[in-house]
Amino acid sequence: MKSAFENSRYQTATSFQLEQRDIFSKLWIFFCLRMMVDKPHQFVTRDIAGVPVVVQNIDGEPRAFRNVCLHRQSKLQIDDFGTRRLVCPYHGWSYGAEGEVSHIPLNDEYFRITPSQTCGMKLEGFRLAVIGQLVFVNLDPDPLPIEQQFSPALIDQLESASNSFDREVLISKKNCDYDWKLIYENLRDSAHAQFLHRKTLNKDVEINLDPVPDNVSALAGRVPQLSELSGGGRLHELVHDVTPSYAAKVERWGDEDAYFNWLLFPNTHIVSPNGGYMFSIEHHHPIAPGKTEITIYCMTAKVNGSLPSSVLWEQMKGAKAVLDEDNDAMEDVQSVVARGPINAVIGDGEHAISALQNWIASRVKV
Amino acid sequence: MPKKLVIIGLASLVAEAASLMKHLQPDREIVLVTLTWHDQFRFDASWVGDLVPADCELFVALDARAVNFSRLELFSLLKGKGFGLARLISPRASVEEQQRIGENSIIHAGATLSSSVHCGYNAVVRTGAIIESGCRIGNSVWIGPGAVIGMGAFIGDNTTIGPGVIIAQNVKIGKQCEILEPGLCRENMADKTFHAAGYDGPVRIVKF
Repeated sequence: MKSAFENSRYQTATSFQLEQRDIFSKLWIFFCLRMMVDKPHQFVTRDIAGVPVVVQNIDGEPRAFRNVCLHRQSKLQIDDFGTRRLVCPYHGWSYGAEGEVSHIPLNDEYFRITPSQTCGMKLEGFRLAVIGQLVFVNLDPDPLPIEQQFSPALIDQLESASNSFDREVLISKKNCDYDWKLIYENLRDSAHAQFLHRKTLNKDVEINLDPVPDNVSALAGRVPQLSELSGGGRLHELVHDVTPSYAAKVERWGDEDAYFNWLLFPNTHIVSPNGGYMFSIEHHHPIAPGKTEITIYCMTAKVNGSLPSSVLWEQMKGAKAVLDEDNDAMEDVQSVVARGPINAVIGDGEHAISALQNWIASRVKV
Repeated sequence: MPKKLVIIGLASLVAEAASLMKHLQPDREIVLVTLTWHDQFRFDASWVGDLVPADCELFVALDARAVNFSRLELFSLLKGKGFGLARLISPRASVEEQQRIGENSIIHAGATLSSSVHCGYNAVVRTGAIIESGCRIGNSVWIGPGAVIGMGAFIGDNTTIGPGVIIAQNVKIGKQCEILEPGLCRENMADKTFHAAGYDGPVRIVKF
């Protein structure tokens, strides 16, 4: 069957803007790890749908605000993450737990902003939800319950797995020249691994093709429930023993020797490639038409004592080798979709891609 | 008569150290003990066998990358057993103050260590690397061929400076870092930071 998507969906400014409005401004978007904002004054910043957002620990709780000073619109926090009070670096305006202006330096002698003026001034706040160590933010002032986006069973798994993360985390970023939907479709396609990853992932993981449902014809054109777009768990068997050398030093999550994988719509992929000893999170963040920024977090399960940095670094290098294979393929595809109107063809076994496209097409009217 | 030198490690690195030693002290007795890749992680040191600290000096020739801690752990184990660890300095290296180089370090041919350089133990300084005066090089540091460490710079423990990397004057590089992309590094780097091709910006390991 033909793809539900015209190629323009992957590359035009119109599509990009509509997705930002109808998907990224409406759904629960993964923001950061809970451990990054669970101590006083810790913060994380990122943009969601073009809106600069800061999640800041104030009075012991993480809170999400628009990361823009109400004075003259400087960003309140500049760095990607850190520990610093919510104080504007431009003129020192500081903010409290509800986003209210708590102090204006030089006010008496210079700015003379009256209490009646400041009492109505509050940073725009956003809703925040936490599943284990995973923090999600929703820009919608009346957001859907997170259980509508992620099923209760998935939430339980994410809570269990993420609560076993160690607090030492490798963080890296990579800018890629492809639309976020391409990598998400790629992650739903079990066939590509034996071709793209035959010298990497396929050496360790027995990647079987997803079964084709008996009623696949009936699924054509069907718009799934939102919660059907996310899921995962134990996905593949391991080809050989991948117990890491540091195994004795960590509190492994579970005891299954398998490859675990979770896809959280719209743009987060969590993997444990070695049965709960190590995890990585790939967060695919659309930044412009045909451009995606990937933030990668790598961590082991909780460590007893300490591990040398080489453990996470070697894991990152291994994960990057697989990621680069996907990225190179997606950039090739993106370069083609930018040139012509030809729609892709989707096979029966790729029905999950069709479902994704149908849902997006029903929500984002281009 | 110098003590017997026992070089223990991975085959290629053992051979390299032995070759350097033969130029340095052609008449010295050298014994080679080759470990498999897996052996280097088994620190029972049973292969030390009948060796007695009073009779010999050891040199650990493991993992060219200092960030892999097996070299350091084996060094520590052998020191704990009372063995002295040798310094291997190629006769074709230029080292102004050899006494400031720590145990179990190897300085390869063509390397230059200027005056007032302090170099910790377990260091590897490869061919043609230049360490300018006043630098402090930590323990278990690996400095690649042709790297340049500018005057007064500081390199933290277990850090790797890749081939062709230039560290600017007075720059401080933290512990457990890797800088692999050739070129000039003029900014300080926090502990556990990595610079390598294919990433946008440094890769960092942060303890939250």
